[in-house]
Amino acid sequence: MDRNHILILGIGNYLMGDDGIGVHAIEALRKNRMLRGIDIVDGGTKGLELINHFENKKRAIIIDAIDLNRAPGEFILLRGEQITTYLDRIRYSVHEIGLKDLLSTLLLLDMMPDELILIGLQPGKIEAGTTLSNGVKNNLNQLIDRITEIVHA
Amino acid sequence: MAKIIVDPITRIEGHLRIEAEVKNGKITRAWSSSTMFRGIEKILQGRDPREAWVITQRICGVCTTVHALASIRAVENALGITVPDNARILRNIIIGSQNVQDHIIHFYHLHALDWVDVVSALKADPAKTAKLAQSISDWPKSSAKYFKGIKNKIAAFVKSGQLGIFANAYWGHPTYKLPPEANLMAVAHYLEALNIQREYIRVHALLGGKNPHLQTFLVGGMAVPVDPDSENALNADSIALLLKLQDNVKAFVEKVYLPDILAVAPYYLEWAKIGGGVGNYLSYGDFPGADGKNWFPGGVVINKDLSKAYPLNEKKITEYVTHSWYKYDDESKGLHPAEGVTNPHYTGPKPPYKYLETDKKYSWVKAPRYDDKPMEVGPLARLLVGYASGQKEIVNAVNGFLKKVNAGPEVLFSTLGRTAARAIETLLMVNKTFEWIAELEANMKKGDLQIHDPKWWEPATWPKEAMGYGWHEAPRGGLGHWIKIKDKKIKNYQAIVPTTWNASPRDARGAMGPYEASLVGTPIADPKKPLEILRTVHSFDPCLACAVHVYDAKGNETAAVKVM
Repeated sequence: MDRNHILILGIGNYLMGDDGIGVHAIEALRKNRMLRGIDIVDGGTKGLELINHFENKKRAIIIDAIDLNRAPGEFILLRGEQITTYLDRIRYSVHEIGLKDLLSTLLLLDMMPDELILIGLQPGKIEAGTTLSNGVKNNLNQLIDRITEIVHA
Repeated sequence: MAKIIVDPITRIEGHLRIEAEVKNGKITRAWSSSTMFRGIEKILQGRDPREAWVITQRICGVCTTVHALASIRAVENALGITVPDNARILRNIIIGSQNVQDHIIHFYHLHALDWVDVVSALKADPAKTAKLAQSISDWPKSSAKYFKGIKNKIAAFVKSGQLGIFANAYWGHPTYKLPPEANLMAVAHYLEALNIQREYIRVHALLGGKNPHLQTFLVGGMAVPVDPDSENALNADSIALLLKLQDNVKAFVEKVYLPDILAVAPYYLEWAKIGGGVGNYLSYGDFPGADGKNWFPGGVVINKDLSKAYPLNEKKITEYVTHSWYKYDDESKGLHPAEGVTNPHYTGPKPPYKYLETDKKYSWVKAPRYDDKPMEVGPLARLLVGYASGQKEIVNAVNGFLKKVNAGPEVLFSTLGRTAARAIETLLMVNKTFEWIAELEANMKKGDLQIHDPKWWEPATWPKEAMGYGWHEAPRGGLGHWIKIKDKKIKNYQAIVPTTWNASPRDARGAMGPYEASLVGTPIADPKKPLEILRTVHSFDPCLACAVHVYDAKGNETAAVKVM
């Protein structure tokens, strides 16, 4: 495993319930000794400030709440063009400086990693609070396992 | 008469809806409606005040330092804590760099495309573009070869269909006035700005830890150690790196950002008469000096009268909910944030709907008022308050700009003025940061390394009850956090963010908020493509801190602009 060239980035708002899935995942991944040496970043709701974390990375795994109208807590993985399609769909997302801008900027600056994965869970409740809803909380461990598998792959 | 609905306004942070009535080609009435982050009180109640900043910094991702700082200041104010000099200086450097980085990104990434037509850039002659660029500054990246490369890069991007951040419904709009060469130059600078900002944010990594969220704030000071002889502290190497980063950003602001404003302004001169707004400006003041006085003074300017800046009286700040979806016992009155309550109560139309009930309640944003007057906050407000206060650097910078554009101060009260003010204050802050770095160096040299005063750290030293507020001039304007501490825990917490002031709906008297007022009188060439609305709204740099990252897309799938 090429630890130096992998980025694991969790994004979302930790104060808005299931929106913060990515941040919760990062907290758990940081405790995993097998992942030492890998850039594991809590990006929160940050946008372009996250650019530098992609520098010299060949693989980037982005963890987020992903809304595809599935059942709350359902596991979702998107690669390559699936990611673009998904982001284009939510073109009126309330966070205009969000993932979409970040990825567009990476392209413009020729910093896009060879492999990009967007992985996460369908959110259930997005409202003020720092805890995950039950459906999502119960699947967090499964999400962590899948991410760890992907990193080792 | 047409009614234009723009929802959502794109290229802002958060969710904003504008409804505007257009008669004879001009906006006659306008309403600003938005979501806002609610629930910070719920999340903070019962928690340790010393940790509030860790939570509040996550309210919004665009500039996290601002909420951390306002939170810490509120607690320090409540408990009567003064921070050591080095902490004061470090905070100034952090605030300054946050503003600078934010403004550069805002102008190029969020605002420029209202004035710059990317598709037109593809028609530009690179040699002519080089000539234009070299005529406005000695910035080195200005050769014909360079611009040809940019043109090819953009062409490839556009061809791939991956318009991404260049996706814009308004390319070819009749009110784009720049020649293709100016457009190409601006697009090149847009790309450079992306690189500059990612270089410059290393300042935060240096001062705040490697994580995106600064780790080094602390009630009572800062947690980043200062020690010229230590590898693990801010030392001489750190200072050298800080200075280098400042040099680089200064060059960009002086040779690219400001010249671009001056190059573009002459093509859009009518925008010096559009977008004025409420004419009242508020700044909390910021960047405390060693003498305790704010480098940017606080105060209020009323009715565009630049001969007088009134001192701030914190008790005059109230919030109305007359036209907002909240409940007060008596909605004819505004409440001071210390008595603030946030009881959401949606009485608006059931989605999907055509119009909001603009004569009733129509926004999730409360209406903050100062002395019962609507106030604009932001870079323009800061500069105007500074100008009216006679602050030397601000007076000189503003007068210098007015001289360059050969105009009087009346041009400042406009969309163009707001946009120029952002650039002017960026340079002011860049230059001042060198002084702060020098102050830090001087302290280090004489052995003053204290960055935290632990005197009031332990809750046992606190009074049973305490109240305070923390004010901060964030990139978008005045930010305030109000805190009540009881029995060592947070009892109550309210925040008024800058965009609440600016995006505010009407109050109990029906007085419009700044966005609403600034849109009245705006000419609209094509109601189906209201680019003019975006120009003014973007000049405020909206950040609605909506804080929802993934939006539930089960709602309205209809187009962003509707003309009724």
